[in-house]
Amino acid sequence: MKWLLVLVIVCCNAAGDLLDASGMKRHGEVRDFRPRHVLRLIWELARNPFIVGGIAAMAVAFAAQMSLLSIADLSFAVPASASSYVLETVLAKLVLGEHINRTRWIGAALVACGVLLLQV
Amino acid sequence: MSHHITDPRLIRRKSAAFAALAICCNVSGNLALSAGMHQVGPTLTVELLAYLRIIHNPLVDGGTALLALGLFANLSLLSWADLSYVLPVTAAGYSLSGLLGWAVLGEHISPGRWIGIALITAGAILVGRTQPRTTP
Repeated sequence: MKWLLVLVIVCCNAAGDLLDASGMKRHGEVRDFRPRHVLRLIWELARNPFIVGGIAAMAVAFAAQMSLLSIADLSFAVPASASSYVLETVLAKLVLGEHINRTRWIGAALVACGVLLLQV
Repeated sequence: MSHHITDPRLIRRKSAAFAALAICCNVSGNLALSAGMHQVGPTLTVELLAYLRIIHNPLVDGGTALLALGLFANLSLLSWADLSYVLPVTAAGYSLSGLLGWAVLGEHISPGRWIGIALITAGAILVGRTQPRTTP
């Protein structure tokens, strides 16, 4: 059960980030932050299936995280959320076609190691 | 002809500004939310909807508003920056909340945790120096 929840958390977080990222790329660069434009942007995003799906996936991940906290230690899921930084960088390359140079790989790996150490 | 795509140098500054906004909103939002939840007490957390109708705790409301603003900043950032840029850079929020816990709440930070904070900060700064967008 614990491992199933970890799997759900990792997959839903990754799916949520990928959906949000591709939904926002499809929307195009946000350039105007005057209140009227921001309200229209929020209305558009609420009708964008990628964004709605992405936020729904994040909500599922959040609910799974809460359930996991009720049956296991906080530290149990930390290695999984740390490795998400590397996993999602790989997915950004494969799915979104981003060019990950060496600096970015090193940065993502440093962040993953750092998150792992926070629990020590 | 006209300015349809923002100048690459401007994109860097705009990305840094929105990442900073997202980080600050998420860290302060989580802090306010958890302080508010402690005031309210743990009994109500299971019944989230009933809780939303009955209780109006300013810290919980403010924390939620800050998290919503953080989500908006994060989505805006993703409209022009790579996911592989946004994720490591916004991970600096871990460092900020650790440092705030130490400086404001006087929490003890173990040597391992200090190294973790240093590694996350270094990773976020490294990725922050790359070009935010690599796709057409």
